[in-house]
Amino acid sequence: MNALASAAAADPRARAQAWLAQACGARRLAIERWERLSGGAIQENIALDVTVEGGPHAGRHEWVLRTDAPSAVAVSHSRPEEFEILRAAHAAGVRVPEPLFLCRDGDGPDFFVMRRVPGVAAGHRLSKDERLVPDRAALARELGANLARLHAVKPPLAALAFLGEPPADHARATIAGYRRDLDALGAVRGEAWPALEWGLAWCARHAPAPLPSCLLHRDWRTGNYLVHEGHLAAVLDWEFAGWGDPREDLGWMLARCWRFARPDLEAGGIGTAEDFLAGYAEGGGRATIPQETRYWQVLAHLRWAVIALQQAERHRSGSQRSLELALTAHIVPELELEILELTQEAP
Amino acid sequence: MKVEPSAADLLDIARATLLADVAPSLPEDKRYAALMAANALAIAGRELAAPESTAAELARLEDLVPGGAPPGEASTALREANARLARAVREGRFDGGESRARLLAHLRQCVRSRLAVSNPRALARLERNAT
Repeated sequence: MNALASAAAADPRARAQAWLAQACGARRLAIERWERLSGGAIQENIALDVTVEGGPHAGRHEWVLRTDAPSAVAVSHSRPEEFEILRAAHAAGVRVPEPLFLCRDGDGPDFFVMRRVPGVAAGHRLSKDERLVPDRAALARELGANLARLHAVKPPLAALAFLGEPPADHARATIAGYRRDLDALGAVRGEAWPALEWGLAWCARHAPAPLPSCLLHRDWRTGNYLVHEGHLAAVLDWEFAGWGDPREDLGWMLARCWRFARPDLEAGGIGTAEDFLAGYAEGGGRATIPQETRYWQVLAHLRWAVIALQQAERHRSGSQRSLELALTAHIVPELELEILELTQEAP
Repeated sequence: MKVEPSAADLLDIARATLLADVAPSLPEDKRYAALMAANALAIAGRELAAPESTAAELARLEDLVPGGAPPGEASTALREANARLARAVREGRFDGGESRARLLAHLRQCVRSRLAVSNPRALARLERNAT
């Protein structure tokens, strides 16, 4: 590594500028704005305003650079993997930030650059503010139609080989996985969660015949997409994507935990389940009635409960002290309540 | 004698001060942290005020999964009985009939006391649906 390259590695902005100039085949490329956007604890998103001179990308651009945060933990896909997932979703016609460039030059953490999309993601605002969502039914349908386009992506796909083999029976495989997760937590904490075990036992008894696997987002919910001028602008946060039963994403979107200010609107506090599922069918998804998603809503609450316990444990164990992680533990009783309510009628 | 005001009172006034005097003047990204802190103080206060429920929960557990309460700490007995119940549920011993109804009544009771601390608003929903 020459002196110039090692200087670039020490300064992420200089490194990105030099690398992007080459990637764009530019005579000159200048990053004029470099601003950290509020992001997760795992990823870091940086807003870029860029001027490119010469080459096929000449012009002014608004991009986002996504990279690992310094405190990253290996729980989700790597940036190169996420880039491939985003490409697959984009190619399938799902509204996502268009993925542009992937850097794995080894001079620093991997990063990728995508087009910046304007819009609001905050669930408490979208569910409450009629000016942001003047036509709730239309947005719910768009969310359904875009999810259907994602579900049209079927395995195998060479670019997504890192996702592994699709599960033969997604519901049963996830139930077994959550039981292992609870056992691992229980061993550390000396605790057990009978209400969650009840939910899992109910799901094991009522598991429907599996549908063929497709590409799932696995966190398709209000809070994880941008709305601009009342319409779906882009679906974000693809780090949990994987192969599985399409109904898991439907149940996740309809689960009570993402309805924010409008618990009466099943589709993420935005619209009715009927509108969301109608959009899903119009977009080419399997015709589904709301009752069919009840099973997957139970699984959704179980999944969130297990994740919440794991997050709280990161705080409790001292590995990552955080008020937000600590409070996550107090979401679990509400999830247990929802599981009891959803499972009380059927035997 | 402990010094007054009590822990519960201190939590209460700390929360009120945070919400009334601190949070409004913060930029939006910091206000969220202040609201989380206020929520944590509220949860801690409710936990202090919660009625002691160990004995009642242990009695229900003994009824569902009799194991002969070992002598010693009630909290240890509770942990063990709870783990016994979790195993029995996973094995499908409460899948149907009368045992299922007794299990659900117990779980509902547990969720009720947990919600009273963690999320009283969700508890109100539970009470509403039960009537």
